Amino acid sequence: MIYLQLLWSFIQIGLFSFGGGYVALPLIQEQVVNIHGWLTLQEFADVVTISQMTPGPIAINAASFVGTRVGGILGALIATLGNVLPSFIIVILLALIYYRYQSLKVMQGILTGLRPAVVALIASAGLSILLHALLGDSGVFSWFAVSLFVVAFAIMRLRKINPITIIVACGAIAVALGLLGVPL
Amino acid sequence: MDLVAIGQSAPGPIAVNTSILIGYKIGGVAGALTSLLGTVLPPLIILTLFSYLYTAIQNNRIIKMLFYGMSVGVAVVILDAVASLAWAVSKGKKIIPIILMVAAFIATAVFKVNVVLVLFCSALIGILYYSRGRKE
Repeated sequence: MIYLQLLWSFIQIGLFSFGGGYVALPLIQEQVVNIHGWLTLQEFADVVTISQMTPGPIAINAASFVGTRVGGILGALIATLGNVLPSFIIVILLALIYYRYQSLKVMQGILTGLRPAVVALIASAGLSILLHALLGDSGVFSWFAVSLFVVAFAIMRLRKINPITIIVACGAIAVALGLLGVPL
Repeated sequence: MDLVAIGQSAPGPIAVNTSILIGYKIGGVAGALTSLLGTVLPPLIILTLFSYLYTAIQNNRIIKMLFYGMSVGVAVVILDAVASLAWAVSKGKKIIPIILMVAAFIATAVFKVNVVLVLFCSALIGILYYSRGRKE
């Protein structure tokens, strides 16, 4: 039963993550955190963190991580299978259509409409990770997190630093201040 | 249009889609399956190991601080990407994509509308918008 739920959840994530990159984030969050409660929001943020620092697409990483969490190695295999199944079928269909008609006009229209919505959905997922970081599990507003976010965001916007550097630096600052006894 | 463009049109990670296409071109369905397996296996193994490791150490005090700080960093990275993407949409100076973006944000962030429903509606609007735009 749990395996069927995993399979179906990740089929949906794979089926609707048009445009690559972060598009899978809001879909994963909806399925894994909101609908099934397989991960807490902090754990979801941690999976995204781990995904940023390891090779491989976020959706596959999340599928493997969540699958292992919920159903061991078999769970990981099933979730990952579900995640790539829609891609596999649709990519081959599109290739056949393209070789026959030399055009994918309808897909271009769909992607044009999806682009602005996708930006909004990623913003929404990013915002919930941010709010969780600012408020924490306790719901108490963290001045540490607010200052760290403002400074890191400004640096990132001004100087296009490697994302991994920013993430690791934020983690290191939190550990250093935490060990010094600063309330995080 | 090349393989990458087809890979971008299909749902799913572009790396995965492109590897399926290349495998398919070289060795048919069996080729596609083989290259898919090759692309998926490394992250599958790495993240399965990380999952066990994470579960074992997630309650450690220092690990908690580390992940807490890093989640702020991840929010920075995602919202930085969002800022660039939103800028690219606004720069087109077309009103419909901008309205669509704002409406989709309000729908998901404030009213918690289902993500798939939002994507479905935007795809429909995209088809209408694109077919109308081509006639003009």
